[in-house]
Amino acid sequence: MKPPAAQGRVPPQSALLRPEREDLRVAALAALAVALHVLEAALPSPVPGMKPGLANVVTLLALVRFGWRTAAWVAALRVLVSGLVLGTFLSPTFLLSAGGAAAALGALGLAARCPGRGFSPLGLGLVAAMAHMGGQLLVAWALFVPHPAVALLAAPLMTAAAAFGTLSGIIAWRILAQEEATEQA
Amino acid sequence: MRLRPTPADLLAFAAAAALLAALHLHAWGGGGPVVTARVETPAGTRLLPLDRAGTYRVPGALGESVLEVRDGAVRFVDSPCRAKVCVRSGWARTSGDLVACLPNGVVVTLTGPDGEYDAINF
Amino acid sequence: MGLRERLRRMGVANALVNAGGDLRVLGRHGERPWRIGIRAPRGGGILAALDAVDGEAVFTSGDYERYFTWQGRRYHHILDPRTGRPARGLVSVTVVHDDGSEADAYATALFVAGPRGWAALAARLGLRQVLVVDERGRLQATPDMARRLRIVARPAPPLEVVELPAAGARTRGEGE
Repeated sequence: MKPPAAQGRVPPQSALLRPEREDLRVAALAALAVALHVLEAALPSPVPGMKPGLANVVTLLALVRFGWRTAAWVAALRVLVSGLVLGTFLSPTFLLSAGGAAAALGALGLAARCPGRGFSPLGLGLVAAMAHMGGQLLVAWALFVPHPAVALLAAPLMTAAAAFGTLSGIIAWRILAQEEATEQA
Repeated sequence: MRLRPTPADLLAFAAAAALLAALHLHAWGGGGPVVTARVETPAGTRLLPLDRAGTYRVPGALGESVLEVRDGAVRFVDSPCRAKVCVRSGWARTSGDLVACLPNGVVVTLTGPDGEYDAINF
Repeated sequence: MGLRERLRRMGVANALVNAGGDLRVLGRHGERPWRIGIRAPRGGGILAALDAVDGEAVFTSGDYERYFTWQGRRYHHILDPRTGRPARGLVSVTVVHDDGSEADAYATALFVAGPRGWAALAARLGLRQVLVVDERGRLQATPDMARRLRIVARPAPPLEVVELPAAGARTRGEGE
């Protein structure tokens, strides 16, 4: 994926405000993630809290291609901007989303440090999704419903997270494979 | 990039499978409904889940009462009262049961999974 | 637009709205009515329980949430306009009514009216369901309230059922 404005020269206005390559990259990825996030929010969900979480694919791509810092920026911006766009900023929905994203980033940070061959996008997708859902459930339990029933909700939600996490891992892998092929051609 | 799971991936999937198995066992299995003991003391109220065995020391008006939780039931093992009515009451195990050490101000009430009240008015 | 209408429009038919202890219920809790516990004003858990049905508001005014103690006397936040001092005699008044804001105001008014005046005032305001607790922990309730109330505090405090005087009748001993 090419940051859209990367090939044109940025006019030399103020050195302070000139976006760097990394900024443009983060902005482009975050925009994509926001679009996916908002699109998903518009879809009806059979069970509250069950969403495919396709925006996490963007976080995965950012992590694999550009490292954890970029991934963290993209995820943070995605949560913030989506909250503003959807009007959920600082609402329970937003806090759940932020808690999930923070947990996923934490887990990805650890996974990226894994020695040896490390994790493939597949494993990263699984780890991120499970951590995301786990973080959300913890936030829900700590802030909103400190009721043992939250643990019962964990079984179906974590199962869905595992499935969707694997799916987003596969999607991320397909995209990365295609990019590689394009670059080699 | 070929999709070849790494050892770390396999480990993650195994861990996830174990976690999910445990969660589902907890959610669907586990036999009867979970009863919780509400322990009221002069210092406040705390909840003890009865699905985990353990011994608890709770402060009361005279001193410490000792509660034992085992096999989904709770009882007073000791209390700093004179008559020891609480200890002699034995085990409480069904929702709605109540054992108490009144001199020490410790009241143990069992509540079902449904919860006794939907809301408390004050 | 009222709370009920708003929730209806959002497709919510069954709800319990808890405004920090003061409640209103809509519809039911699944197959059963909403179960409400009324906290004991001087600590020690739940005083009484009642099942609330669609549209009912349960409001309590008490001297135990906001107060300070000075030289052994409790100074709370419900002031008697006739004296400018905290109203004495009752420690809590619970009202069940079909209008939340009215219930809130009426509970406070009955609190100020005190142990001898509350029943007359309740009759005049058209309230049918009132529970009061006095400074010695004794309960008084209107017949409609007493019928649905389940005293759960142990040992059970004494409960006196107070017939409401006919509405409009002038009252003696109102206030203190």
